[in-house]
Amino acid sequence: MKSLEASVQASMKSHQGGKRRKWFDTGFRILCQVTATMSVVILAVLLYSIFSSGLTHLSFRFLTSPPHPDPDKAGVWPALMGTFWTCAACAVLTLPIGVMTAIFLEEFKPKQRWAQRLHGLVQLNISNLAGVPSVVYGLVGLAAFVSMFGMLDRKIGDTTKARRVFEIGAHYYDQFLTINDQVIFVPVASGAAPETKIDNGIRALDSNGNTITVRMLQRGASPPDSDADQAITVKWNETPGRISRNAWYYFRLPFGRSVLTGSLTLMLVILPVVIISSQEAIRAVPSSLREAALGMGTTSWQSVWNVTLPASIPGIMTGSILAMSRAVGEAAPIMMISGIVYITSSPSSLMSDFTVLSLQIYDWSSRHDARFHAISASAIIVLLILLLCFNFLAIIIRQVFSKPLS
Amino acid sequence: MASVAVEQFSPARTYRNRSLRALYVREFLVKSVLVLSAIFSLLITLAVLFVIFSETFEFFSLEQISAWDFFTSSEWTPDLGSEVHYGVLALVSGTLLVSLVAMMIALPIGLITATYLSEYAPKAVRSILKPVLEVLAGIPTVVYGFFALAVITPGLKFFHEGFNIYNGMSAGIAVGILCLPIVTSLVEDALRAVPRSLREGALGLGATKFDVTAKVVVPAALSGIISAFLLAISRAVGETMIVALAAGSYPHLTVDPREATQTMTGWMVQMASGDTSQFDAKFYSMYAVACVLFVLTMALTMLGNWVRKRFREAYE
Repeated sequence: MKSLEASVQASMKSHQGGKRRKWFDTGFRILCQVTATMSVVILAVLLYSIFSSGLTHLSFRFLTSPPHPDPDKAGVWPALMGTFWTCAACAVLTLPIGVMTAIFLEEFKPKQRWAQRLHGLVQLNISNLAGVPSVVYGLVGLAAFVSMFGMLDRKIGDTTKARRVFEIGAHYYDQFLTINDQVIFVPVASGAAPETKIDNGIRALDSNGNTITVRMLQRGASPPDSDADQAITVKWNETPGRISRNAWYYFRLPFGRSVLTGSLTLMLVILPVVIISSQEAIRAVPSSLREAALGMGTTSWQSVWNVTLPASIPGIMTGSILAMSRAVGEAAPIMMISGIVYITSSPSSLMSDFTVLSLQIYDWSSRHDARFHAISASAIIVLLILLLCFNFLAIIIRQVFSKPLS
Repeated sequence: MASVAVEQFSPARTYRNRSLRALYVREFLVKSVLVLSAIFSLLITLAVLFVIFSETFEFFSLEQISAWDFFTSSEWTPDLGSEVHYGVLALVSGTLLVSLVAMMIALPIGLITATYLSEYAPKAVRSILKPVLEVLAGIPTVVYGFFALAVITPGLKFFHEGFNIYNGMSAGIAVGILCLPIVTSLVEDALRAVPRSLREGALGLGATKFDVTAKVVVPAALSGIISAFLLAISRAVGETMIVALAAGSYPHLTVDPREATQTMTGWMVQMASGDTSQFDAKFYSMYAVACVLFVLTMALTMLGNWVRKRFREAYE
């Protein structure tokens, strides 16, 4: 009897408990639904706030004009071009190394003890590198690429104006004003050459690029009458200004605050991402394909080149494009190497000074003038559209190229 | 057809195809190139370590700097003429404050969203929620910084007048939103890795869905969840553009999220956006702060990876 009573009591208790548990269950389900909606709400508010304040300034003129102290005249053209240049160079540098490392890690698992150690070390290293904040890579880029570990004398100061250790593709000119205020250019051998002294018979270029022979106007002499003569006559005490014209292949060491520095620094940031996503793409290729190729007598590289790589290309491309879209959005490392700079022209070579879209957004957002916040929102719209294109491309590649493999 | 036939009978071609030695040489060359590219990533690590630690050494060998002051003082006043202090604790406290706020947002919401996605959500909801989270994860951090300044800070000021224009709370919330998709996707992966049989076993014993989730699935995936949390904290600590925009530039020891503060990354950005042409103590302090940041995030990342490997429950 007693045991029956106890069991009835127990069952009643558990029944009550069951009710409470049901309540808990429903409550938790509702909590989940509410919480999950929050991320949708956040995204909606984010996009609304950007589009509501940014759409008004978005125009063709905004896309094609340089930044300006007046927000109504400012545009993003140099920043947009800087982003294109940096990311293109970054992709060219990163993708081969990233994919090759991924192939090494996935397809060439070594048998020797020391090689296995290397393999494990590289794998561990990459997962740790992925966790390093991008701002730290920016500082590394500052030390390693901008000044190349102090190949420049550190006391010189501003690295953009500092001594170049090595350069190719630059033409230096001394710029003079003639007596009727035309500009002429006297070629000089290098950036460090002494100032040109004005003398009769110096060869120079006029502003149209024609070669002319300079005449010197002596102290106290009267200037010539004709315009043609005035345009080639320079006063004896005219002081030159040193300028340089760089060819598209202009290259110098150290790199300074150039596009190349930016893309190398971004490479440090996204290389682990590219490697990890390529590894996943390669791992997704069914091993039956690989084994079939090896069974037919291919070497391991032949099987990689003819079987694994073609099969994993869509995955690799998708991952790489997403990594590139991360590079497009990165501002911190670029900030570290170049700071906030006022650039009005798009880059002309890998050694040009540059700014990128995300840095331009930072610059405008951090100002106190609220009118700049509006154009900052417009620049964000441009950036988001750019990223949308990247993602769209990734989706298309995934859809078009991916075939069922097993 | 004809050309193929000619090629096949051409003696040179036949020789090249059959030469095993050429094949081995090519194989060796390819392998060497692959090994070199793998070593490249090790070189990057070495370069990072070399740059960070050598420049930090440079900082501490300056005569006005003492390592003791750096690690114990809580005053960061490099511009205060007579009273120059480089006490990294002021910056570390800013970082911790922002990260704490961020984690109070990202961890609970991320965990619950991941649970919902993994255990409850019907397919239709999933097909909306997943892309939304992917979009949130793909938005550049500088955009979140703008969002913090333009939306979150005015929102906070609307509820409470005491908030400064630049405050730790606003930056923390934005960093939390940034970390939310990371936490969600990592935790969801961990939850999905728990085998169905465990859930079915618990349901068969009469457990409710909540019981299954809270008492079976989450404990089984705990190592993955903790590692996700650690990785998210590491991401929050290293976050730069949001705090540079929204947290202000007033480094001091504080726990009040309404005040302006400055994080380690914020200091580095402030130095970079100004004139860094002089190689003085302020310039080198950037590297010393980066060193602290690097050690901190590296420790968190390694701990996260270790937890995931060490405490993983393998069910298969």
